[in-house]
Amino acid sequence: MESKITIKLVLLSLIMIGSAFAETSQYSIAHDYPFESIELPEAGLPIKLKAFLINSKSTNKKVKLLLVKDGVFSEIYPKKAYLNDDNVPEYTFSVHAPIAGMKYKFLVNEKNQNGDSTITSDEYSVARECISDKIANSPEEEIKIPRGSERLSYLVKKARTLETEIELFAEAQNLLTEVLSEINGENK
Amino acid sequence: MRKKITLLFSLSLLILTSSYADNKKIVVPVHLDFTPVSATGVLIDKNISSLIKNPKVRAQKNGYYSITFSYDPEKFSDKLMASAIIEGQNKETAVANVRLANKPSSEELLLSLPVCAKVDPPASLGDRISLIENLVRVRSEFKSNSKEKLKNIMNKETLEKLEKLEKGFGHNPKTSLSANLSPWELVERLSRIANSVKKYRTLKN
Repeated sequence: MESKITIKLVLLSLIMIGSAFAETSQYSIAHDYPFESIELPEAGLPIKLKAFLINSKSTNKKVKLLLVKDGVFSEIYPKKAYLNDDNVPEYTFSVHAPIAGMKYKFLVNEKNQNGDSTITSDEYSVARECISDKIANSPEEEIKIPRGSERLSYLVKKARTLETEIELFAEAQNLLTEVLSEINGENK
Repeated sequence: MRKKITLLFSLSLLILTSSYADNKKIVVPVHLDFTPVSATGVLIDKNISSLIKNPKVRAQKNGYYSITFSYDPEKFSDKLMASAIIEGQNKETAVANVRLANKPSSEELLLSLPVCAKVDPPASLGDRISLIENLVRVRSEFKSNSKEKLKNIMNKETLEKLEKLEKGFGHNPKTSLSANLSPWELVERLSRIANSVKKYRTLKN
């Protein structure tokens, strides 16, 4: 009789330890590093960084992105979190491409019965080899349109710069709408 | 007597040179929107901090300046941090970002990157120059419209709200917010505000 109770108690404590372990440290953060297949977009253009929780189904974890971009540190919170087609929690962060480079890692902070626990991903980084001349030159710099062979080169560069600037103005407008709806209470 | 004086002179020269050689140079980069007239170097260590008068101030590209001064590394620990206070003609002041003396700062790394090489367009585009001219014209108009649209949203009231948020979140921008900033800077500033608002909301819930 006594041995049965002991076995039950041992089993129960094992289950309790197991479930606590599963909730706190058995899951990990994975990241699909995008810069092996894509180039860094022009500075300021949006990039999506995705973190996945392995061995967890929760989309409510406090996952954040620690980012050092061009030497400036910031903490980014996910834009959205959902269970993807593979039934894996996917947290999407929106950042803007750096001028020179950035380093980042994902982190989950949570409180449980054993206190606070922190789980971090590996550290990732991406850096440019040179600074785009669109950033190096003053944006409103007015240069006389050259004639002859330089003309084509100038016009192609100008067309590309304008394309980036239009995309950046559109992004600025998106961000402005996002901030205004937040402060006007529409996203409560 | 003459020999003694020569010896003393050589010795003092040697001491002077060796002490100069032991000194380490530090460069503090700073972005300014005014022309600097004077600067003071700042060294911050665990127990001591010193002010270095009249450091060298040199203009770099894109509004960046480098403030250079020397210090004796033996007097400080390896955790020594450096900054600079810069003053302009109209009493404007700016403080450079604090950097570790032994590691290159992010601005230094950024300034050391070369500008990307010019890529020549394919020669086949040569006979389509009028099409490219049209493309530039259309895109210029599109850019002006986008900027105008943004200016309308960023009216006085909105700008006041945004600047209040920047101040409240401690962003300390170097210039005031306006639709006339470069689109890159505008995105950077607005994304910092958006992120801080999101962080505030998340922590509040």
